[in-house]
Amino acid sequence: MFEEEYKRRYVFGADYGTSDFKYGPITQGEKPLVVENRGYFPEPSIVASILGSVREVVVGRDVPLFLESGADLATRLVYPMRSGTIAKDDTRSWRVIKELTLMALKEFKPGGFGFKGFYLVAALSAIAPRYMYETLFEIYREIAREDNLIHSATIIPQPLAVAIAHKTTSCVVVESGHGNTQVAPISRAPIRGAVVALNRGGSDANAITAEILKDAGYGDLAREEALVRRVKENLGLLPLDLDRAISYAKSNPEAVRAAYQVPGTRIKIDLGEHSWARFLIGEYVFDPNHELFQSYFRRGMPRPRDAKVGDIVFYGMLNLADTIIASIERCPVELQPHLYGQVILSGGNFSWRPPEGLKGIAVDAETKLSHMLRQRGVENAKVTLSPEPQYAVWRGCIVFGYAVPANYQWSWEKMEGWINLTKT
Amino acid sequence: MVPRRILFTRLIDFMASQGYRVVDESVGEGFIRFRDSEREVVLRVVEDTSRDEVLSTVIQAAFDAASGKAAYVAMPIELVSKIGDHAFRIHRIGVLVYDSHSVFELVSGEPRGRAKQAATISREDKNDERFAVMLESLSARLTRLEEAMARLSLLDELRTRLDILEGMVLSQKPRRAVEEERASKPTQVEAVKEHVERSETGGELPSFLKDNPWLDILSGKSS
Repeated sequence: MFEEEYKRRYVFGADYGTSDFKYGPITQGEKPLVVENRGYFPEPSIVASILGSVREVVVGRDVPLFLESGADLATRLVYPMRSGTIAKDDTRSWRVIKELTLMALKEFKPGGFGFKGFYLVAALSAIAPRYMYETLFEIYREIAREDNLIHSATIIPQPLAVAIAHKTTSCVVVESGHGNTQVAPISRAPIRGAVVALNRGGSDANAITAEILKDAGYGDLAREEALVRRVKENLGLLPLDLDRAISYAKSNPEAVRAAYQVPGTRIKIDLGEHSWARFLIGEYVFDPNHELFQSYFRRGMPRPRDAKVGDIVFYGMLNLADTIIASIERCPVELQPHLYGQVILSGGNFSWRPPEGLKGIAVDAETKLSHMLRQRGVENAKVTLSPEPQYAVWRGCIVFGYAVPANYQWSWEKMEGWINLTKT
Repeated sequence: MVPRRILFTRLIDFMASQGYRVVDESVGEGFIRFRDSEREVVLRVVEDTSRDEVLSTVIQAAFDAASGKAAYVAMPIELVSKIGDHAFRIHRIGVLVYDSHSVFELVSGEPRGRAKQAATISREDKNDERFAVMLESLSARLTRLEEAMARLSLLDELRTRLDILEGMVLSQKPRRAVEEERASKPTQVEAVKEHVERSETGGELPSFLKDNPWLDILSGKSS
């Protein structure tokens, strides 16, 4: 029981999200610390070498201090989890993950006697292949050996962590990140064989927003990813029914017309007569199959393709409701009503706010998905949006580490349990 | 880019606001020499961010520092972003950063003048005796801590041996006896619940742990 008491004091959560890295120990309270999940590899400087201060990779809050302008930026700034997975031989991305983990653990290392390392619970995407688990454990082993910062470690799928944080034991978690979307049923444990993934995420909504900006005469601004993302968040709308929304927009152009003033600049984006296209942004996340999208594909916008990573197929064009149904129908029939009864949406891609004047035309993500499921004969679906999606995974990690006994050893068959790193 | 003359005027104004007066300057060679009542400061200005110029200026500043003067380098902000300030801090070379509007001090240049050194040495002399006493006391405490650590290691080893013995005994007992014994002890699930309740009353645990049905499921896991 000594070990249990110790573990409860030193549980540490680490959520490697597609955009942000959320981390902190149980003592952090309700919210973890957040830094961008990225690392910068500065150009080696002669002066820094001579004066002995070379840093191969910079992570965390120091990154903006080192950023250089110019074309090199794209190659030197590495976002390791952008697509949800890291290739086995992508040494730079793994290096960033190690540095971020080290930075996080050092930030909370307690002083004084009695500290034997954290009980680290990390969360990876549900579609992370086994080699990612192996590589991450190897990184943790190195950190434990070099700095004694980790006592034991475990890795859990992000959707499981979301379900734990929401105190829901039977549910379907739909987690949508930058590059992909995962649908994972949970019933007291992840049902791994029923996970269905889409090769579509926030970056695809950005792509269609950039095309709309080009059509509206803002081709120069469409190249700046950060700006495109802000336009998507501020002007994008999610239609209940795309055809009805466009027809409404064409007969009431002023009702859907919107402009966005970029804060702190003189730039004002007014979509004007192209304002009806605001509905395409939200629709594309949920269903890219409408004929209107074909014209964008013909003009060169990449069509989301089916892809295979490890054993998982990522579907490009499957709509979200069909994806959820496909996932739930891989589970036992008796369980299916419980899963439809608790669909949790998690991730920034689901934060659609319908404006007051467009009620019934533009909707939020819960209403849209319930509508799509109803059209497919699922009447009892209850869809909820995670209230603080950015923190849910970290919270789930903390609960998991707090409750799972310290002597529950890692099993590669079950993909759960602790690996004790003090013995290696 | 700020014209060189204007940049020099801004740097002189900044140093004047810190109490220094100009004794010499060369716009062509890119340096300004200042004084206050105690020390001489040499400020070298980097405008061209080519490696050769940066390297040459930093080496000159290092020579200035080595000869007992306070050495400063003024650099454009984009260069500082590129090379960082760590090396300057550890080598006590001051850094002034400028952009098209302003100048600010990023790293303070520590003086190495004789007066300062003498004052430091004299202070060090006075402190030597005190440090020796502190060192002796710390050394004694360290020895005591090492002894305590050794005792703790022994305790750890005893605990491990006890676990092994318990395991051996349990594996030899009849199944029913083992189950009865287990039933009399609090289970892992109960222990976790008890801990949550205890902590809740103390207000220590975050809300997402309270009344969480996963605690039962997860704490019941066993190899």
